[in-house]
Amino acid sequence: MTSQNPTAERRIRIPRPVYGLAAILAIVAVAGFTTPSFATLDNLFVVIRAASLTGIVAIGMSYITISGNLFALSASSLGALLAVLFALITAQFGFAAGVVLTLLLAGVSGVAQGVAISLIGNPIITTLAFGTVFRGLAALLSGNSILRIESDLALWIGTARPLGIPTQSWAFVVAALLSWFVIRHLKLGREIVLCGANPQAAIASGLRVGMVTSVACIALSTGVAIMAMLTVSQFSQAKADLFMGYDFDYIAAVLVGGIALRGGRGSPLQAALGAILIALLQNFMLLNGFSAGLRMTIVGFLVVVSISLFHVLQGKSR
Amino acid sequence: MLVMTDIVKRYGPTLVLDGVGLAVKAGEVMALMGENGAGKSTLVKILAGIEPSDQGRIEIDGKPVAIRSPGQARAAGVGYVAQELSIIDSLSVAENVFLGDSSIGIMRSAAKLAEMARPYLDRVGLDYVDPLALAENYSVAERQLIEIARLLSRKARIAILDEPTAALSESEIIRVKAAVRAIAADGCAVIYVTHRMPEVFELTNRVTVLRNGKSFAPMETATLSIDTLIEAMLGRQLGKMFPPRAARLGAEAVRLESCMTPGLKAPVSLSVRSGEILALAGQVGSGASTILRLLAGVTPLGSGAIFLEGNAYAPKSVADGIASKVVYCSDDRKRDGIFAVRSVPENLSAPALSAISRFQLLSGSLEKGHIRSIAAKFGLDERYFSRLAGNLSGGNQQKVALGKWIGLNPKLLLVEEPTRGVDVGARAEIYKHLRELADGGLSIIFASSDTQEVLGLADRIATFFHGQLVQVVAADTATAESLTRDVTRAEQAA
Amino acid sequence: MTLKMTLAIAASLVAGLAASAAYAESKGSVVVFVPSSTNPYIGQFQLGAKDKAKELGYDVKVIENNFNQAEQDSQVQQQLASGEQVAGYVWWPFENAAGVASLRALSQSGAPVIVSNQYPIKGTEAFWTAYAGANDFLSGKTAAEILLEACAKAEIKCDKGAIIRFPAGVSAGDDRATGFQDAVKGKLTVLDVVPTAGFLEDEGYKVAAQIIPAHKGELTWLYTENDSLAGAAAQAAKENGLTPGKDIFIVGGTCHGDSKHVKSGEIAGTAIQSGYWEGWMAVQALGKYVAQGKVVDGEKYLEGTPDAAPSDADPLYKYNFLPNPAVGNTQAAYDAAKLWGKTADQLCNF
Repeated sequence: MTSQNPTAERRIRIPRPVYGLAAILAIVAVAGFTTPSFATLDNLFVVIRAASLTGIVAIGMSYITISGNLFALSASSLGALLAVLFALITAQFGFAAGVVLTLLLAGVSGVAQGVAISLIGNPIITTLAFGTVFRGLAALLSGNSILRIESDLALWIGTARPLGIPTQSWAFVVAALLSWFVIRHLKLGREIVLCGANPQAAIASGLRVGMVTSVACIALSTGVAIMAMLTVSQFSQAKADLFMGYDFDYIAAVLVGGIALRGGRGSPLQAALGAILIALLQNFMLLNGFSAGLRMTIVGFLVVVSISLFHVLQGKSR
Repeated sequence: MLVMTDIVKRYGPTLVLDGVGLAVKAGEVMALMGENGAGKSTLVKILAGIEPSDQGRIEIDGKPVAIRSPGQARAAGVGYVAQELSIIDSLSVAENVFLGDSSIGIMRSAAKLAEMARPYLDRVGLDYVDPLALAENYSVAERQLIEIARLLSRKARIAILDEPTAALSESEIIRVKAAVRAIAADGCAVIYVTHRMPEVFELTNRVTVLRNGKSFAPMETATLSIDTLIEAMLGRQLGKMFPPRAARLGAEAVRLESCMTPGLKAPVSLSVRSGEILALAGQVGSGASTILRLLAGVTPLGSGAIFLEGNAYAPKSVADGIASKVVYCSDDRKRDGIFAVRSVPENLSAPALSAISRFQLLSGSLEKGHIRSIAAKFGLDERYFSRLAGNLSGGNQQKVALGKWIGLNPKLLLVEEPTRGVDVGARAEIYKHLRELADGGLSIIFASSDTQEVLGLADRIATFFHGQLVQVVAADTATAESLTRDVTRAEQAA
Repeated sequence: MTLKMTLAIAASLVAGLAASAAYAESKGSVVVFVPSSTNPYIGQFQLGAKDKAKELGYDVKVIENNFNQAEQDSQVQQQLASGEQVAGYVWWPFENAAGVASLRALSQSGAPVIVSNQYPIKGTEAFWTAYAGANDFLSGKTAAEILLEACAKAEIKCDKGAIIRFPAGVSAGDDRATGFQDAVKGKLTVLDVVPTAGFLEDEGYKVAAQIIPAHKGELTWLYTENDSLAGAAAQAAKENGLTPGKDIFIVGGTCHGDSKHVKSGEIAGTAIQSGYWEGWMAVQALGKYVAQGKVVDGEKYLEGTPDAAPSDADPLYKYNFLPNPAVGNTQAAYDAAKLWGKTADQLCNF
């Protein structure tokens, strides 16, 4: 018999992304006063561009978290592998084949990881192992050399600015909206949320928990594939050590966005906002010449603060 | 011995306790009763120092005491056994007995600690327990008793037990009751929070009822009847707790023929008709809940056959069962009955996602219609639609856990402990709605350790003991005594 | 017939035994500690080390760590615990300062230790036989010279600029930045020194795309410590309406990865820093020590001759530096550039 807190009923419900937006505005305000070059429209576009690739993966990562599987630690390594594969395929068969096959292979890797997580039961350990395999394969396939592609189409995709906005930023915005739509309005999205909220209850309700885990892994793999292809296209080359050490960035975006670790709550939009928030902070620190170590410390600190903050807010609304 | 007067507690603008008083004498067991949300837990938490009161006095032995923290409560001689047990599985029994006792140095040897724990364990009927064994080896009931032993080790003079038997079966409850009697006989003042009527009448000397944050003068238990007590808690005439039984039954809905499955020791044959409510009565491990899990598709059929409306039925998974319109509510609502962090509508539509979607796209209007019809059938107030399921009271959570299945128009509803952790008012409502559904043609099989519920709700009762079906009787011919005898028969034979 | 066959088998057996005997009589093995070859430069380093060892008659055992000093330390412990007799060690620590204890442990085994790539820390001289590898001060200086030359020919005013450097803690990044800043002192103004979080294009782009608009109208040059970062910076400059080589001069100073930006003139020029030759000269240094048995005090910049590789008979100095010959930013200059018999294409495009 838990006596309820009747105030919960009267509380005005604030959608969680609003907290993220408020934090973004706060940073913009503070930074704008102290750093003149910060609060310009140009710089805003620069920041969104800087957040794009991390953001696309973080959006995919949010599916893993929302589906109740914490995090995947294989995203950066998968990115390197898919970048290498994309470069190899594009060099051999052209850009279109590269895109199609890379997405297909990303899907395969998603299913493989999803099935393995369902069998092993621990997403962290499973994806850690997969990550090692992916990085190793990337090194083997690339022969530890730089793979070049000669594709004008790829270069255009990687460097074009339709309506003055880089393709990466477009991809980011589209991915965020699409992911939000899937979670919010598709039957599949609801299933992902419910499985994350309580996998036992989901099984008892006849929902397909194993399938949902695989779908979440595919969502992440797709985000990773898009990041990998955009990066390779932009620089016309791929290497096995691409994206090394980026996993924390993806996870940080999800956490700073306030997506609950225990799953079943939150929206991909929050991960997108989290990525922008971190990029804003990074940009501010970069313009002020903070050292990389200091930048890392501050971002880590932001993650700790935001997790604690959301934890407190969550406890209050219970 | 203990006198609490004029206790006031607010959560935000809401008054949870509005000048509540509670007085308990040494050697007495005082029942603290009331519906969910009446303030029982808040009151005992204030006494245990877990929550501060906004106002009010606490006197022990005529002297005012200040209790603002668990440490102060302990110093004042107050011991508290919470609903959620605080036994640590990975520690030994003896270490659990002395958990948090700062007077026990960390250097004390395990053997010495075990020797010190021995008398306390003996006193609560755990004389056979090895104090050096890990707590994880013992059942929920035994852990509950270890908690009570902990109170004794701390020389608590006022013992608070918050629903100590909520998760226990009848025979386990007997052991807890014995332990409670023992500590009361030693001069302890016991405050016993419970929903279970039989315990109140067997165990307690007096009853204090809380209602809407106010307390009423304690009543001598001996002067009360179940009905007067329920009415005191509800503040109105209850009428009857249980709805009338089925007037007429339909055709046979499900039949088990010599079914065997892990958990059963002899083949079971049973049948249930459309519109009928069958109770499975038995202690933990008796096989009663095994039958539910077998029918639900959780446990596979070993041998024998099941027929659902005349067709062979052998579910391999819960999803198979659902596809055949056989649905199942386990006894652990929090674990697999509700999605605590999601809203009530999302909970209600969870098993019926296909029904509320068009081309994989969720339809707001379909979903709204779906949950409205469930809410109407199950008496769930639409006010709750904006809330998370985890924030509802136990009774409303159970309505959600059961109600989500109603939207599928099931043929057979399987329920384990239909009203565990549900307060009296909501209980009566749930019984009413289950009977209405049965009258609409649904077959219901439920397993319960609550004798009142088994006798009151069911049309027929199947009793189980030790993995075997003992007998099936019409509910109106059974009594509490005959039922208790049936479910514990071998213990008496032995 | 049978006799013939038996003889043939016997002969081949003998030959096989002889061959394996010859193998066993190799001059011993060289153990090379390096970070992971998933980094292409390190892959080249290994290749060069293996080629030179084979030529000198050594076996090679390469022990890679995954960019982790703790892992490398434990590898050293395991190698030493194996009790294997080795001809010598090549030591490329992942974190120079943190790896000193392992370096000392290696030196105490009695085998010669050649340090490479990471310029040794002062005071550790007793722990290593010789340094043979890149000189990052020199790399920074060469980059500065390329930039100053481009500025001299430029039509625009060439004064203020920024340095995009390797992550903090990477000593090569410190050394290159110092070498560069020393060389441009009094000639150019450094507005900003911004560290990246990595060594590749994506990181370079991320930083440059934020730095360039922030200093709009001020930046006339960028030094990026390698060509991967430089290429990405060139791309960011173009996206901000600046034409590299005309409105802004960008120099990386070490050919690393894509040569496209050098050949097109977008980067002001580059210098060959060859991983292959660095690995090669580290093993050569070991060979020299084994053959000559002595180390000459002082520094030696090996000559950057286009065709002939330096002779094994040259003396071994305490510090032996890899030359960084500059390469002009045209297709023709790039095609003509050579170091020790290998073309820039072979040495840079790995």
